[in-house]
Amino acid sequence: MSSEVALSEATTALGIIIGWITLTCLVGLYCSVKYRKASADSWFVAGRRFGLIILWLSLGANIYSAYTFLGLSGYTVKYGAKVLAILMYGQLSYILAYIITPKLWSLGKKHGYMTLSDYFERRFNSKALGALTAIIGALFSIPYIQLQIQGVGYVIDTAGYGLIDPFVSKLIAFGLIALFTILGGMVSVAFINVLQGAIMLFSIWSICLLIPILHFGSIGGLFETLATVKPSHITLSPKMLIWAVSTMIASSIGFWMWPNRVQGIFTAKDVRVVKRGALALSFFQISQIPIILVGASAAALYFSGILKLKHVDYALIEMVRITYPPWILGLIGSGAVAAALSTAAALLHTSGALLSRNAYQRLLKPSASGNELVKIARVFTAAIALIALYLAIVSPKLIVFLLLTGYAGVTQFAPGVILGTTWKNVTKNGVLVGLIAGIITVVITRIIYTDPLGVFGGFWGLSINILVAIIVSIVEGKK
Amino acid sequence: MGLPGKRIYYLIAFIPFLYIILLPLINRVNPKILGIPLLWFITFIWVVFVSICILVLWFLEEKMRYEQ
Repeated sequence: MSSEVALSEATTALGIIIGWITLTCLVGLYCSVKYRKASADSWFVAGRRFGLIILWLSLGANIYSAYTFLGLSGYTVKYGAKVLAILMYGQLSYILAYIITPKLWSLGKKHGYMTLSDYFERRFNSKALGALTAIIGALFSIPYIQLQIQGVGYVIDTAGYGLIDPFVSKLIAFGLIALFTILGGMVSVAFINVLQGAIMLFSIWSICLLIPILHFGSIGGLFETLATVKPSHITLSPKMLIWAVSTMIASSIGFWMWPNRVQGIFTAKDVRVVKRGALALSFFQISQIPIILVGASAAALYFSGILKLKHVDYALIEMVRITYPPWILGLIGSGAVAAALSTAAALLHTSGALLSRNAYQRLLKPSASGNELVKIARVFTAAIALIALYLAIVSPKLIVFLLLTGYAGVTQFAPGVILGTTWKNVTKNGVLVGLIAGIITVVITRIIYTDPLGVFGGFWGLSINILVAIIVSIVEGKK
Repeated sequence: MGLPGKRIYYLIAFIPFLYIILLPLINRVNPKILGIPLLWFITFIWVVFVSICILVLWFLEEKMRYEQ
């Protein structure tokens, strides 16, 4: 490709992505100015009028991230049918959300919890436990933020048609996430997320769904080709089966342990909003199917020697690039970037707030003023973002690996939440020692030796954590 | 919600988790449905089925609220 053609195509694709981000930010600013003067009633009336759609798109944009667009398809290229476990744990988590999160919401309402760390602090009467959960939550958010930076970097790299250095792409990605996070505190994030959710759905159900049909004639044709060139991708080997089952169990429980998601539950207006959210998101989850089919298409072409990939996580964006004109690449790039920005901003905000409120204020300076806490939260937010950028540059990992590492960590909050709400004899030390044992197990079984014996590291951690929490609580109870 | 209603409610909430138990049984290529291997086809359908289960739970609760 001549450099003039590449420049023209890159200008089109990148122009659409930047134009979309600018548009969403402007709409968000307009809405925040408009509704600042309006009464709360008019806001809520609008909310009632558009309730389910706004909720659906907004929550979808918040939860679905760069992993949805790039990670799922990349994982399908690398591991084939293993991706189905990732698809299913998310969906099973919504059933759990429907049954369990209303209980969590009621507790939050009764005791005035705002964060997950508030729950740990007050339920077990321990500032140390509250601070520890804040620190663990923030630390395990880092891989999730890192994957967003990597994802946006891959999109910009591909949409730049080889004219932008990958290192510069990651810096641009970081800049966009920083801008979006700063704006997040000033503009109407709900309206931005509605637009982001809309572009994500449009790009998935129109652009992505057509890819297997355009390349293979039908979805059946896609699987016929994949079975010929890479038969091991069609079913799960016995080891993969163990991994799939352990991942589905641990991650469907851990799904609602992310600090930003728990905060979302606690701040919901009533329990019906929480339930409606679970229902709405389960329908959003169906949108992952076309993306997995694009991943399977990329795998079939990759193992046939037709498609070249710098890295498997480029699969979806590269498939779009070879299938469609640059303006469509711009559209799908906007969807992927939108997904990454909205999630990264939410995670950064929550992590900064958790560290300043539940760790800094509680442990170091109880007399800290509101202004001081905001400043400290900004410092923590910047520090977390910079660590994530550093890791994205020096140690880029497979997007789904990063996602599952984050999940393995936050899943360790589950015993404290489940036992704390269902078993009156569980003790503070039981939960504390169990949490520490679970986190150490996760570091060993996920980061040092990944998934020993084919069992997901998060499952190892969860099992040890529950066991230790129960044993310590019983022993303490006998004393 | 009466006892029979509660039983149906929790049964509907439990059914989606059968996927984890059924996975070793459906982990095969044949029979293909619409050219799609059995494992992939059932998983895709199951994802839609779970959403429908949650929708049914929602309607059961709404019906109960209405009756009350």
